[in-house]
Amino acid sequence: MNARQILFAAAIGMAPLAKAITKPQADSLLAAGQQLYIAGDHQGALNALLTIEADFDSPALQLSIGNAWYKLGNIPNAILHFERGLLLDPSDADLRANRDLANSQVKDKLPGAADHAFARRWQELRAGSDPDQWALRALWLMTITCLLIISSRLIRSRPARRAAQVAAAMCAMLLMISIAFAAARHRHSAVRDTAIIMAPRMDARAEPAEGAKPLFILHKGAKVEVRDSMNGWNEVRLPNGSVGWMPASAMERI
Amino acid sequence: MKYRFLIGALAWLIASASVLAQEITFTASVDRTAIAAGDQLRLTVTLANAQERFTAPDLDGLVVVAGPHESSSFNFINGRSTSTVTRTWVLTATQPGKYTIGPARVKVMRGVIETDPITIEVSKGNAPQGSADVQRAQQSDPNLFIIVSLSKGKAYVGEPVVASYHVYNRYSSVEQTGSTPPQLNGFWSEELDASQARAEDKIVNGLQYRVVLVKQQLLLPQRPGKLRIEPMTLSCVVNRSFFNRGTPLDVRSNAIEFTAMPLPPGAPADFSGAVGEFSLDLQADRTQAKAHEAIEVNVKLSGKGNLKLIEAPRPSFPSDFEAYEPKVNDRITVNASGMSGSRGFQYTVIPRHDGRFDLGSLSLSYFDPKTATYKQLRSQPLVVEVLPGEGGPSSAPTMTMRTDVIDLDHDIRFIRTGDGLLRAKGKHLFGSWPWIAGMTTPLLLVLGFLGWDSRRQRLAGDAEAMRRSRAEKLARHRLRQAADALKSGSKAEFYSALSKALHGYATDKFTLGAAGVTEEALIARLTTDEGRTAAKDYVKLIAACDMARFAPVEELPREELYDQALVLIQQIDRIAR
Repeated sequence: MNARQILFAAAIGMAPLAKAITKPQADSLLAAGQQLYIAGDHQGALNALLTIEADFDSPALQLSIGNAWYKLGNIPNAILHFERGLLLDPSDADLRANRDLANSQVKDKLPGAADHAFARRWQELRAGSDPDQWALRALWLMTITCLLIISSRLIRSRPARRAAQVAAAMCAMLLMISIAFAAARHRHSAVRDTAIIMAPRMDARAEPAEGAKPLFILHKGAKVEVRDSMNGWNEVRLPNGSVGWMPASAMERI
Repeated sequence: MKYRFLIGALAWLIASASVLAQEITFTASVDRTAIAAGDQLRLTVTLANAQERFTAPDLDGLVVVAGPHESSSFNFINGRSTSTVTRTWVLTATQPGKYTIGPARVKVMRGVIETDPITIEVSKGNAPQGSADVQRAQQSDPNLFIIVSLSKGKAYVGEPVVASYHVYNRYSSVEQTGSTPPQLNGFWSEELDASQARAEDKIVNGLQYRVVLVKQQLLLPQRPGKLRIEPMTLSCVVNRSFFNRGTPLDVRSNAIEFTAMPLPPGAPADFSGAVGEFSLDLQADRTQAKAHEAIEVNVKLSGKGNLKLIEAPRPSFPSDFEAYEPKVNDRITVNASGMSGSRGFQYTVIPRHDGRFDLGSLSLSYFDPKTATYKQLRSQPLVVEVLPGEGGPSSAPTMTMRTDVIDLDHDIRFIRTGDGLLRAKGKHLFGSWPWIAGMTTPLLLVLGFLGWDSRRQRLAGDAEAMRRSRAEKLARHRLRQAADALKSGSKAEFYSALSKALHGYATDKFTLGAAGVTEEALIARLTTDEGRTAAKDYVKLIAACDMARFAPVEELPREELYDQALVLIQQIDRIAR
């Protein structure tokens, strides 16, 4: 039993059999998993990291999991976790680079959602690096707006009062934007309407039934939008607009 | 009887040696009585002083290798003549056991003389009696055959095996006219020099052969499994001599089976088929050079094994190095013990940029058939220090070939450690109760404040505004009273009304207390120049009124005071609007 195994066993030992693990346990498991990854034991690293992922999340965690899958040669799972990380922080350059590299090994060539730099910048701005960023900003702006409104009423000096009123109006505008972004972000991360194909090869059919007419074929690693689901079948949509039904078991939602 | 005769004859011979020199003797002797199977012994039968032919002894299973050779001598000394006849056989035994050479007989005038029988003890020899292949070949043609033999019957893939082709011959002369080489499927073969081999005599099953090594090959099995060496055929002419054209003969060798064992599993990644024992060396002719100067990097693989079949690992030169195809120097000797020597790869590289370049170390794995294990070789690392070349970067600006950075390869970016800000899953700030509370609390607070403030302002604002708007009206009313008093001529009433009008207007208009009507207070509210003079006049007027009210002296006529008050009030009302 070498040092790595002891490290890992110690980290596991701290984790009780109960489902949820606590934050300190998760932190030590993350450190242990990353040590295993650095030492080259990718399977061991993956086991440790996936234990955390059940309850905790972070872009760095998803990057580690994706890398471990990639090193083990499992491209679709690697893409899945890189995408999950990008959902948390769309501006993460490491995740993006690794996702793109993994995508280059996917058979199906599907255009990415935001290929233009401007559109990407906008998405990054709207999503923020932290999922709670806009909600937190909304809280601050709400407080500032209210303070400005109150002070505008209390100030006797006419120019100062005017300035306070303008500032309050601007803050209120920013507040509205923040709330809108926060709501969009919340919806984005809560809805999970994209999925990665896990099956090596799968027909998309015209109807949610085995034996229906096959419309197109997707291979493992392809990213699709899930529009609807019914009786264990998902209706998927490709960026070019093609729509077909696939068994839900053939894919994993991001 | 013969003993008696012999003893008698011997006694007689000794007694009268000088009397009768021409006594007949007949003896048989061997050079040794105990041999190993396959060894040879010499049997000599000598007859002295008689010319009769004698019969050969019974050899009892001993095989004649050579002979009989006959020799005779005749001496005549001092009138006495002696003669001897000697016959010699070279004998051998193929099987161990006890053999008895029977008596040889000769008929002389006085009767028959016999030699003594000789017992030969043949022990089990260590000389081979010939393999099954030889026995079989001997059965098909006992006079001429070819035997192929391998140094070992099974070996690992890549392990050297020597195949020897021996011609067994009993003819007096054999001339080779042609041959077809053996088919070697699954082997890599290398001819060995067999010309130095000496012919030797060998006895197989009692037959003497002249055995010549005609061909020898070093074989390296290339694939595992049962491999077969197909027969070799040899065309020759035998018994050719001056008088004889000879007889042509085709001889086929035996076919031979060989088992090539597969290499055990678990070969290291850098194993490329090397089998044997090797060493690896990585060297440069210098480890310090200037840029644009050629360096020779030598990779030398030496040892014993399938050298010719393996490639030495190639050093990975940095992209700043210009590397040419290597020059291969092979110093490999092939003999019956295998291949040995060295393979050298000489790379000429030209560093195009200064810096310290780590070429790393080379590694090569080989399979050692002696221990049946894989072993890994690792050369010592090589570091090359390249100094700035002629006209280094510090000298006058030169044209430098600017090139883009070359992406050698792509790989995933490494994991990030340290920024482990883990978040509990599914917990969002947006929409959570604390967030909603945090958002609504300031909103409710501000709404409450606004309600309280507007109510306060409404209450406060109403009273003052009323006072303000009513100030002029009230002042007019009081001025009218003053005008009435002016007409009636009542001094006290006039001044009282005028003073009240002035005081009241100021207090109402500027929300001041009764004692607050001072010049400073008015100037603070009437900030313009006109307002300042008006304020001064106003305060002066109030003072004049108060003075006239309580003192008997009147400085100005009452009408003038009244007009002044009217004008000032109108003026201040206009300014303060």
